[in-house]
Amino acid sequence: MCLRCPNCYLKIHARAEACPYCDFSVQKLSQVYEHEEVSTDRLSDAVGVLDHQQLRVLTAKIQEFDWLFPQFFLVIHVLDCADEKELTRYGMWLLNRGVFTPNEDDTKSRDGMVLLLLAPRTQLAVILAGALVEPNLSDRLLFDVLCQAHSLWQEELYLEGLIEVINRLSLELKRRANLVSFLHPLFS
Amino acid sequence: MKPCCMIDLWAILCLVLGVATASPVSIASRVEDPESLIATAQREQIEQQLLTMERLQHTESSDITPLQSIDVRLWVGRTMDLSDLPAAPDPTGTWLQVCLAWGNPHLLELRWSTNLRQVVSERYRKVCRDHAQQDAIMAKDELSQVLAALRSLQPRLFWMQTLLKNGDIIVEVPPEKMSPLALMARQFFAGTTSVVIVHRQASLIYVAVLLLLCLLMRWLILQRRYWFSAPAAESRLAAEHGAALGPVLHFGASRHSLQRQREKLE
Repeated sequence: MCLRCPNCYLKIHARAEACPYCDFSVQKLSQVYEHEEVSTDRLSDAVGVLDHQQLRVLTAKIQEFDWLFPQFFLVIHVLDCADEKELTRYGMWLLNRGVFTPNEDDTKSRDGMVLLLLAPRTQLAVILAGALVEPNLSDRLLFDVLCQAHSLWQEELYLEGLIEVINRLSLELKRRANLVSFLHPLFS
Repeated sequence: MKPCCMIDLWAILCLVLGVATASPVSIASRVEDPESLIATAQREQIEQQLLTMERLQHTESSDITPLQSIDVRLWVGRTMDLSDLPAAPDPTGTWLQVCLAWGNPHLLELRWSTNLRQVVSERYRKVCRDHAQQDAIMAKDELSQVLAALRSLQPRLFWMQTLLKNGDIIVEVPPEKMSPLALMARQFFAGTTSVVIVHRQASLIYVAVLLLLCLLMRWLILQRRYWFSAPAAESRLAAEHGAALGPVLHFGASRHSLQRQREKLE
């Protein structure tokens, strides 16, 4: 099984500790960002494209997502980045080194994180899934989830786009859970 | 829930509880002549007319079942006073009695069963009576008066049957025609409320119960939480919590079409 290196985009073995081509690993990222751990909010808007009311609406959506899927939790960051590579590298680092507040439910493992990063200036968005979420959602499916917001984000309707993404993500996860609960008795 | 499903459910409940949406099987039409005013030959003609009316009820509309047929009766007396008339033997049936004073058609009256009263408005009942009365008055002899009154009612029966067919009336089935299960249900409910068995308000109760059930189901669905049993993915690139690249969406530049971006994921 292969995966693409977030740094050089070349295909590498899934069990590789570091990229054999560029020597990329999460430890290297910590050196890049000069932090072993970062404490941040579950929802943050460093760019300022969302007003106070919109942040409240998004917070409610995040709480709803958390309630529906007790093993997972959603993190949304609106930020600025130079390019795609920086966005994905920052995402991976945040996924592994981030400590998020408020985290009311300490029982949730960070493996269950779904990280959504949106960069309005460079017009990029990415979804990164933790180790617990990843087996349930393929990259293709996550891309389709992001596509829901494509036209909305083009029109700079960032809140609406984010809500569309959350709704579609919830729907796909529900479908997956229903399918598993339906098939499980057949194969057990 | 779709309305048709609710109607089906209502029909099933009606069957279980031993109520029907129309009258029981029609009783043969009959002529009451306590003072023997009608001659045998005349009686035959009148009964023939009543028979024709009953037969037409089934032929004019093929979807009219015997449960919805209306039993037409005739009472003939020398003088007519409604208070002197004998009580109707079958108050729960679906019948219409033409009461006529022999030779005095202006005294014609119509007696309606309780079930028919529920579907036929008072205004229409009056119209039926007036028209039958006028037709009878126009006839020259006593027999013609009776026949004219009956013929005047004939086309109106079809409309009344349609009302019955549409289930605008809930009629109790006589105990002798009930199944043992229906009889048990009837006895059980009779002690608590008569509404459940006979009255059309029963449908409101069932609709309310169904609505409550639907709301409960909706609430249960909304309360559902989703759990996943898949094991966590293996550690990659020395990452503790996840190291998938994640799909990136370019939503601005036209050179990045969605299709091309999707292909890039492969």
